[in-house]
Amino acid sequence: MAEEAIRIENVTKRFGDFTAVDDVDLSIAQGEFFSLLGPSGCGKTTTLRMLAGFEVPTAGRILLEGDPVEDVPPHQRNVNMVFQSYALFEHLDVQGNVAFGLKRKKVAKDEIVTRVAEALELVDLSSRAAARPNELSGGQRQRVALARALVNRPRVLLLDEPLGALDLKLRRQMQIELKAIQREVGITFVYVTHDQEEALSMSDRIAVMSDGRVAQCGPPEEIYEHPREEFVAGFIGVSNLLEGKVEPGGKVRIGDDCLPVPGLDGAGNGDTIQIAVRPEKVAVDEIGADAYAIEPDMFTVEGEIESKVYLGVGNQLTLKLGNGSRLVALEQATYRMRADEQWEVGQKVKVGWHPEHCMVLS
Amino acid sequence: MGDIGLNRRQLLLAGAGLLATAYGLSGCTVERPIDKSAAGDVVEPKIDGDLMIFNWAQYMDPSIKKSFADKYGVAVNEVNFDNLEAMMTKLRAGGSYDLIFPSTEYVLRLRNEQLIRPFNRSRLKNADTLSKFYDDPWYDPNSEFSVPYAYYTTGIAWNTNEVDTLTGSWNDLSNEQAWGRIFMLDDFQEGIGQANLLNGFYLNTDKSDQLQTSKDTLLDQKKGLRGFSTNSVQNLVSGAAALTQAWNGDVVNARNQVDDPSIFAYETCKEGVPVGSDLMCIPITSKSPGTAMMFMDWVLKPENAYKNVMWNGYPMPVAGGREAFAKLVKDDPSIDVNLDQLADSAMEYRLDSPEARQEWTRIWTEVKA
Amino acid sequence: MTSKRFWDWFIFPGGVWIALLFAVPLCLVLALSFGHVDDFGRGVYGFTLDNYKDVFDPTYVPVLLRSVGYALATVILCLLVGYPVAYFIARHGGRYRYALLAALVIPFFVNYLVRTYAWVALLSDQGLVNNLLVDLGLSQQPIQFINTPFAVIGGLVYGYIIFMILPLYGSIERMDPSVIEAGKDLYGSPFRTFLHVTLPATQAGILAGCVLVFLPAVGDFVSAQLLGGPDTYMVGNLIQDQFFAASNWPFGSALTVIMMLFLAVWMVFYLRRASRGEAEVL
Repeated sequence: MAEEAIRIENVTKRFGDFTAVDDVDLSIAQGEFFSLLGPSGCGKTTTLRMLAGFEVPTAGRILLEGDPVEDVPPHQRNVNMVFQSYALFEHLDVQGNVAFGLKRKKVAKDEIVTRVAEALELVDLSSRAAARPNELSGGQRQRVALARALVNRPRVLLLDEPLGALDLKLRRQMQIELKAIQREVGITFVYVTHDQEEALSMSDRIAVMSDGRVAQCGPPEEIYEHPREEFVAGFIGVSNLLEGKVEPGGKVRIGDDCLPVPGLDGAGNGDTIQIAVRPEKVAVDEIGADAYAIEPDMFTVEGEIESKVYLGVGNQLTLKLGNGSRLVALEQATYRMRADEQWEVGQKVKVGWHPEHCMVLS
Repeated sequence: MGDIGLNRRQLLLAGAGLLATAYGLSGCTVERPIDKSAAGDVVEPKIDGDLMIFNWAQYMDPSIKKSFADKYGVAVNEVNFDNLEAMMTKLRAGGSYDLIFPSTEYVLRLRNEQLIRPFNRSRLKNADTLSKFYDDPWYDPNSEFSVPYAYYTTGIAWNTNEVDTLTGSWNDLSNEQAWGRIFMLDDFQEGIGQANLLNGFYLNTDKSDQLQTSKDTLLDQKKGLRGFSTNSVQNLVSGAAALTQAWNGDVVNARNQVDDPSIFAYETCKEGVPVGSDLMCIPITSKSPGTAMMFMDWVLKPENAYKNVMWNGYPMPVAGGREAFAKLVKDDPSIDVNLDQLADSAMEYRLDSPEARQEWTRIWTEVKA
Repeated sequence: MTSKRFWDWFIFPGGVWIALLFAVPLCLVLALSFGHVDDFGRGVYGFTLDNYKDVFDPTYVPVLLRSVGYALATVILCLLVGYPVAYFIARHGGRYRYALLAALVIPFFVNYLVRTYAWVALLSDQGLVNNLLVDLGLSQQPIQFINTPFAVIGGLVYGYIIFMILPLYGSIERMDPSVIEAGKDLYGSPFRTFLHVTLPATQAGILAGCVLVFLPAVGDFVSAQLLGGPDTYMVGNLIQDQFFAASNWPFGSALTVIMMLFLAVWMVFYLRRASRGEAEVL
């Protein structure tokens, strides 16, 4: 791992009886795009606010490039924040907003002018330098907030759901731009979001938070492919959850079927465990026809199509298996098939997946 | 919200409307004319309806109203005014009252404006003992329109614990011991009047050069003042005033409010003692003038006069009232004034010409500004 | 369209009400200001400018200046006292916020005159405050609070501070609290952040409060009458005396008209600022 930008050591934050952040340990590397992901109330924003200095930890330490900062007030910390509401200064124009931090730091006048111009260039807002915030669109306001923070060249940039107020299309576009800007400036980004797709697409690493603690921390692929607990599996993407009993030989019995599952090391025979399969990993074929989707080394069961939702890019099928449990399968439309003609409700089908796509949850 | 301004056409229209209003009103007085058909009829005492009294607040013992109501079986109601100008305004606007309590000057003004009615004074059983001072007075020739209710002198009251260097002159309003804690009555006639007396002028002078001299006197006196106020009782009792120009009745009231009444003394001044009187009159708008006249007589009845003086502290120039006040002030004769010895209307405030009145009020405003 | 026309008729009762009770008296005051006094001391309508000449007589200039001076001092004190109060309630009042506001507003249902009398009782030479000071040994003898310009201004501050606090509360409460955090995040010390962020963000409330306090304070007569001394005569007292002591209604009317014109300038200034501010938000 590269040099460490932030270390959060055993940090706990309580508000009265409520524990918002519960003994969190995290390390964020220099230049990393790091996301704190979780539902509202999970402690991600409180964690971010402790990094900014707006909240003081009840216990634990926060190190910024090796220096403890938990008692340093926000205006003396070399980090900057992009607020969810943007928090632009309505009485100042765009330039004034961007120059605010430099003026407070008493940077020389001509340097301020240059750096503000650069920052506006970076977010592609040079033409609106003299505009008032209330004359700007949501996306433009968001960029001003970004420029206003970046112009100070902080050690770390904190972003609190910065795209939450934008519509979907703009949001997608800004995700790409944000990532590009981060690569260009090379500053460590700590990004708070409740949108798993956003976190997956942008982050170098993600910490999934739940009830004040970090449920799992790792690169997006690891979080997605190998969730360690039900919460993570359920929060990141859609998962089919199956409950079963561990049997000898690395197998799990679910109803009448016994399926091979890798990675059962920790579990003893007879234990009840949960396993998950991603819908897009589930293959469906007509019974009796030649294998089309199902591959030879897949585990297969029989089932019946209970419902079908047409998504344009494919179909989402709900399948009822012989043992009574239900599975969701996501079938991507490809050049080889048309999504709208494939299946009928009530049709008997063969369902299969690769054993290695089974995720064992603790 | 954006369009708050009037456009030019609207402004012109509004201006034209105002001009038209002004033209239509030109020459009119503020109040509309009222029915004065009853102006000549002489009122005789007889019960002819309920009574509505229009008076200063706290100026009459309520038991007198109650006993009258009980005896004659009529309702006796009272409403109050804050100042005589407000009373005039109500009367000019046609407000209906049966009995009012104006000062001498206001009797003259009410009479000139035909806002009060004459009454047959010889029918008042208790008017015989009234002071001769009120016979055929300047403000009411032949005493056709008024009988006196109460009177007061203007002098100087002080706190004996704090001041002991009084000289019996209006100069005492600049007493050094009391400097900075002196009040002057907030009344243009009392203020200018004492300055006139101090300068040896006629109390009601209308000579401009004399008034200028008195204005300078007032501006000098103002330097030692803590304020202009007619609330002498409160100023004395609260300790705000070490010395104040005051009406004699207020001194009685102030004494009633402290444990040791002797701390408040009162003097009348050698340059002259202004006397003021409040009178009873029947407005032209009265609906029960006969009852009003019966009530006047009731107020002047010796035992009622006695009760009333004991209640409000102001002397009444009538049998019973005199005795009561003598009792109130038996240790301090300065507070009492023998009206019949005074017998000098030169010591009453009267500004006969509107010009003089305007000049006085202007000077007073200039002093206060 | 029809239903809009229909609803438009509902403006009439209110319109007539305002016309009768507000516009007509105003016109009469204006008309009377060109009048004169007759021999009975009554105001008579006419066409003279004498009353206006008198208004600008040098004698009255100190009175006008004094009134404006007191009103400005009142505005400044109201702002200094009212801002922290409004700020505290809006940002830290929590669930007691409305209770606190009510506690501030309820005393103002009591008549202003009565409240000012209460001040006289509190501050007089032998009043509660002086007794306390003497008893605690903080002062050898009673301090003369009342009958001074300070007492008049104090009375005005007390009388009108709610008109400062309420708009300030409104603007502070509406303000996005994260802009304060943004100010701190961008290296503003608490004081700098207040100066460069909070204050400008609440300037609409500040402006409204200042105008709402200034307008009644400059025309007030109660405070000077009850708490003032010989040198605290304000234009409100001057007008009051013209109507009730000097019986010179036309001059009183002229003073009133000039006064209203002066206040109207401020009012228009304020409304234009306010409407511009609103336009920007929309």
